[in-house]
Amino acid sequence: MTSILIVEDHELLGEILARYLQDKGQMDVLAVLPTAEEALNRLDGLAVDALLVDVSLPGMSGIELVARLQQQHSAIPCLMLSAHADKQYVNRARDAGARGYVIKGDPRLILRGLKHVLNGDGFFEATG
Amino acid sequence: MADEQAHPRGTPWNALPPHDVPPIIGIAAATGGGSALADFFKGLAPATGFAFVIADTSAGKEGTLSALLEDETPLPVHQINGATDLAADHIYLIPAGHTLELRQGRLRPVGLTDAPRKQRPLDELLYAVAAGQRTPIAVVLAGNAGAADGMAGASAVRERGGLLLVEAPRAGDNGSLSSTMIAAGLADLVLPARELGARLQATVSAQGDTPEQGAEGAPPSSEGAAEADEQAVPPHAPTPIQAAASAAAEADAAGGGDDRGRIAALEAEAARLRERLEAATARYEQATAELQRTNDQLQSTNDDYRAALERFATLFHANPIAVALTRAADGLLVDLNDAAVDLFGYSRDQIIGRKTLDIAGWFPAAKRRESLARLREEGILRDVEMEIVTASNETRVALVTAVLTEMAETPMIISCFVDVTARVAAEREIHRLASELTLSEQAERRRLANILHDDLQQRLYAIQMQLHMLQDDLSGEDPRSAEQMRDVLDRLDETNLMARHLTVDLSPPVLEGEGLTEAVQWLVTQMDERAGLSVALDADDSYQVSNHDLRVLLFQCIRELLTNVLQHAHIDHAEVRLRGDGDRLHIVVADGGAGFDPTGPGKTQEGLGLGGMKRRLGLFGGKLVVDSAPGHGTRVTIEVPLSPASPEATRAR
Repeated sequence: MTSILIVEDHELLGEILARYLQDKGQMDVLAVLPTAEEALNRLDGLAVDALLVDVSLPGMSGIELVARLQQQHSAIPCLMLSAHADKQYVNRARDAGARGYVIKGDPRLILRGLKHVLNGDGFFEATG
Repeated sequence: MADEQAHPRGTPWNALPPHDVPPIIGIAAATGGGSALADFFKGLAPATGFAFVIADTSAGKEGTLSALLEDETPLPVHQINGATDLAADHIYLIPAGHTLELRQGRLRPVGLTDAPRKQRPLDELLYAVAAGQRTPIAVVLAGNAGAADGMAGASAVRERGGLLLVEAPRAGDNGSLSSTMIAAGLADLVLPARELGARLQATVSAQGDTPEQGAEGAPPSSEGAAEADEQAVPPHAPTPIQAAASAAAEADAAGGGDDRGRIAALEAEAARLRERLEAATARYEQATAELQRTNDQLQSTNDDYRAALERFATLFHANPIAVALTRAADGLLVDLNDAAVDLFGYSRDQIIGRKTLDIAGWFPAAKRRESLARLREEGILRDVEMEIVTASNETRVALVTAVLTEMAETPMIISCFVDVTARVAAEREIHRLASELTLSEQAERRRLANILHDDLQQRLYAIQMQLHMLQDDLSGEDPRSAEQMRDVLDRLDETNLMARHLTVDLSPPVLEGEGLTEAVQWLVTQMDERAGLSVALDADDSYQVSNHDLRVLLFQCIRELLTNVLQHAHIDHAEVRLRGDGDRLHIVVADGGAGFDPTGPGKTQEGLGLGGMKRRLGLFGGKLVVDSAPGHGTRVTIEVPLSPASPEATRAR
């Protein structure tokens, strides 16, 4: 079973996401962490196949977290999750090393994105 | 004898020894008088004791008269060439063209007279006789004298109380000298020439004024000569004209010895002098009147000046605006009015006579020097805001208007101070409140944006996901429910999009921790994607806006200006340029659209939000300039310090 780590500071949204991925995606959500710093701390002790990371996080941003992970755990693919559809954000996420970028809201799109990045493909779908 | 007594030329006149002085008879025989002379001497007794002096009017025929006389009389005849002591019973001929001087019986040709046609030999002889002895005796014989020569001399003889014997005019003798003299009443005795000679001695004796001469045949005594000498007047002046200069002095000394000619000349001179005096008097009176008028004008000007000074003094002291008078050269305080005393808090005694730079806090020296330089250049300084420090060390703000002027030829400065401390404080308070409002507004927008983004939007996303899960569960069941679910999800999509835009509009997330260039780049993209406005961005990396509030403000200004282009310029493209210039940032937002009249009603600019932008930029020491005209697009330039003092500090300045 695929192991997923969610980094999302909004508790309700994180919980729904986790439920959706587990129910509909047949994935193992190891944890929903509210900050990038916590994710960095916990990552060493977890066997994670992919990360779902919110761009806007309190403290260290999601993009910065991805950049750090590329230095420490370059093999773990990351899918960025954001409320911002701007190209700038998308590009910066890509530059930081993210494999994909999706707008929050449609869980099917998120699941599709995760599958793509797990498969080693890029997935950048940000409009609106 | 006469020759023996004739002294060589050049002998000093006053060095000569005295000699016996005979009574001297001057004989004026006019031209053509040779026969009359002959007749006179024929009638004369052999030894009269008189010395005879004859004016030779033979005009250049020297010797003619001398020869004639030598034939007619036994008396020795001498031609006088130099100073000669006259001897009794001798005849002396004097040359024409000389003035004569007779003194102590010595006859001396003095100097040459004027040109021949102006010569008056008879007058010269008679003047000399009249002046040379106490009782002058003269004989005038017939003949024609030129230009009444002899008349003035005859008058002089008579005025000196002398005897004038005149030959009776001969038949056909009209206008002769003798007839003129007789007509003028000058003659004492009128007889034919021969009888004059015969009666000369008796007539002189009858006069009784010369006792020695009165003694028949007796030579005149030296005593009489001495007496005559005592009466002798100083030698008369060479000519009547020359005499005019010393006439008064001579008249005094000679006791009335002047002759009529000289009197006439003097009178003419006097008349001329009177005329000159009258002319000078008229000029003097005219000048005096002119002077009086000038003086009156001066007085009037002076009165006006005094009145103006008084008005100035009244205005100066009663003026409710503080006024100080200083000397331009060194800033010496000459005077200040009551309002200035109140404003500065110094008494007059404390500061008048001191230099303003020496008065603690009068003005900041640097500001004063700068203002003075401008004042000297432009002559006037208007409404310059300056801080002043009063005697009680209180800082006040004054609007200073200064004028460079001149008083009593000294450059002076009149400075007026309007105390605007309260107004400036109120303005600063308004600025502070406006700044607070701006910052509060920004903080509130950020707070709302955070609520929207961090919670509300996330909740919407959560609901959206839950609905999607529900939709999956409902699939294959009631198609109507599935349709409704799709509608709900579509509306939720729209709501999410609106929330996202609202969040961005309230506080662009890009501003958080990003540079201004990136934020503007984002904005440009947004404008293009969301509104179809193509914006050309030209920005360099030579600046960094580290102040977050300023960064937000500049971003908002650019966004507002681009929104104006979008809404009012009726054009689909614009340009934005950002340039660093050391410590300042220059931003230009320009379009080639509709434009507007920036000098139009204030509402236009306020409507475009430009007034608010100016005020907010002013809080950071920045400024905004609008350049626009209807039909010619709009170009807005913003200039702001890159490291401004905080708005609080800006307000305090």
